[in-house]
Amino acid sequence: MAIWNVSKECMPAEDRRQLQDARLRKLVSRLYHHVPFYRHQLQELDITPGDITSIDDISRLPFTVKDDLRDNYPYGLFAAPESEIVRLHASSGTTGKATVVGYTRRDIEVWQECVARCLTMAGVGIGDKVQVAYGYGMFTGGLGLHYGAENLGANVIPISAGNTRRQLDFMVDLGTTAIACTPSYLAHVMENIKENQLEDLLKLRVAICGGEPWTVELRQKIEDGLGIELFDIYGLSEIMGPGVAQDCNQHQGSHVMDDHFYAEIIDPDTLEVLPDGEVGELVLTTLTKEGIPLLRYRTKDLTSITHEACACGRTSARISRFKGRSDDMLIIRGVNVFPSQIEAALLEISETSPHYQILVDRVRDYDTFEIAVEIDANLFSDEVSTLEKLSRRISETLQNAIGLHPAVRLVEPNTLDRSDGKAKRVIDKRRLF
Amino acid sequence: MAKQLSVFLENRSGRMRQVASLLKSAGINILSFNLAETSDYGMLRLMVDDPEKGAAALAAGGFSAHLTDVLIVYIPARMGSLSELLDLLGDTINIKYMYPYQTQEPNAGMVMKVSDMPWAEQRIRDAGYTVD
Ligand SMILES: [Zn+2]
Repeated sequence: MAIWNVSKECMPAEDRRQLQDARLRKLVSRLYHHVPFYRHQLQELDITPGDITSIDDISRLPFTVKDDLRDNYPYGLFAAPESEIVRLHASSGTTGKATVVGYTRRDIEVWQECVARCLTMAGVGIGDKVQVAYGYGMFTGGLGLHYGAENLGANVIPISAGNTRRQLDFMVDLGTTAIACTPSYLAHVMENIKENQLEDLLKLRVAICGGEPWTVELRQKIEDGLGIELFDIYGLSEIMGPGVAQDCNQHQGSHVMDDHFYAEIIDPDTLEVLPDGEVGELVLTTLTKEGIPLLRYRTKDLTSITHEACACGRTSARISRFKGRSDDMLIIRGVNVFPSQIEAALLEISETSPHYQILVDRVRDYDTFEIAVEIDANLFSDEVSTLEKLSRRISETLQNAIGLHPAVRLVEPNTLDRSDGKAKRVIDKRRLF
Repeated sequence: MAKQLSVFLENRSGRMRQVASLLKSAGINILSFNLAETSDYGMLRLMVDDPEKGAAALAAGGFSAHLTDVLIVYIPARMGSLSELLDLLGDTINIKYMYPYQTQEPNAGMVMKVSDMPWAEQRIRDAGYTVD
C-alpha cells in the first residue's frame, strides 16, 4: 500500500528522535519568547530554553490542560502575531465558553499533510471521490478532511453533515469511493442504504471515521454490512484537528504523526510518564505548531503506546484503541458533553439546580440522549401546559449550550439514583470502551 | 378561593393506588378529582376535605404534592347553565382547566382554574353565583 511521505513516516528511529530533539528545542524557545503564559511556567520551574536539548527532556516541561486554553481565551496562548493567522477554529467548553485555536499558513500545510498521510494509509488516492460528511464550520472535522483530501488530489465532495437522503443521492450519482464521518452517522447511513437497497449501486470502498469513541463490534458490523474497510482517525482541535493519528491497513493501533505531535502516556494521578504498553492518559506536544503550540497537552483520553515498527513499514509510534477518559466528558453523536455544562444550563431555568440524570444509550447504532429532571418545588406546576413548556425550555437551553437536542423526561422527586447520597449524574449504557 | 391538592405522577403502575392509600391512612376524604395525562407523566388534581393535611401526607410518602388556588363555582343543575357561566367570563380570560365537583341540590359544583382568578371570582360572585 502506498505511503504518502516515506521519508517522514518510515524514518529510522534514531533519525526520528533527532528530528524531535531539534523541533522540541525550537518549540521551547519559541514559547519562551512569544507566550508569556509558558515563559512564566518555565521560569517557575527554573528552565531556560537552553536547558532543553533532547526529546528526553520533555518530562521536565509543564503540562497544559483545557482550562489553560479557557483561562487565556481567546488569544492568550497564541505564539504567532495575528497577521500570520489564516484560520480560526473553536471547540465547545465546559462552561459554554468555547476555546479558540488559530492556524498559520504553515499550520494549515502541516494539517493537510497529516490528513493526506491518513487518507493514503486508508488506501485513498488521486481520483478517489471523498465525501466529507463531517460538519463544516468552527468544528475542525469538515475543513480538516476537506483540505487534506484536496492536498492528496482526491475529488472532494464537501457535503457536510446531515441530510442523509442527499448523502445517498450523491454517493450513488457521483460514485463516492470514500466517506469521512462519525462512526455513528455511518451506521445510520448504512441503515438507509439497506432500507433503500442501494448496496449494488455504491462504489464505496473505505470510510474514515472519527470524532467519537466506537466499539470493535460497530466497526465489524459496518465493514460486514457494506463490504468496506473502516479507518479510525484521531484528532482534537486543541492540537490540530483530525489527522493527529490513524490506523493503517494492519489495524494494530493508530500511527501518531509524531514528527509533528510528540505522544507520551502518563499516569493521570501521579503524572509520571509510563512505559510502552501501559495504559494511561495520552499527552501530546505540538512540535511544529506556530499558531497555538501546546506543551504536553493532557487529552484525557486513556490509551497505551508502542514504538515497535509496524508491518506496514511506518516507524511512528502507535497508540492503542482508546480505553476511556480520565475525566467525565461524554461524547454523544460526536459532540463533547460535560455534565457540568448540563448543570449550568439547568441553572438558567431554576434558581437551584434540580436533580437530574443524563442517560445515554445507543439504539440501532445511534446515540440516544435523554435527560431526566426531578420536578421539585421550584419547577412544579399544576398545569400540564406549563410542564410541557418547561420540558421544551430545558431541551432548547441544552441545545444552545451544547448543540445537542436531548429528550427531556420529567420525573418525580427523589426517584433518580443516588449512590451514597451522591447523585449519579450520568448513566452511559453504550459500553464504548 | 379553595385549595386543590395537585400531585405530579410519573406514568408508573401503582402510583394512583399509593396516593389513595396514603390519603386513606391519613383519614382524608377525596371529594372530587381530575387526572390530566401526557405520555410520560400525569397531573392529579384532588379536592379533599383537608388539603393541608393531605399535602403533608403525600409529601411524606415521597410525592410531589402542592396546594393550588382554585375556584369552586356552583351552577344550577340544568341545561345551559355552563354556557351562561362561560359567557359571563368572556373570551379575555383563559380557562386553564375545570372539572366537576360535588353537587349541592339544586346546584352542581365546578372546580376551575383561570388566568385571572381574583377578577373571575369577583365577576362570578357579582352575577349571583355561589363561589367557594
Ligand atoms: Zn502501520
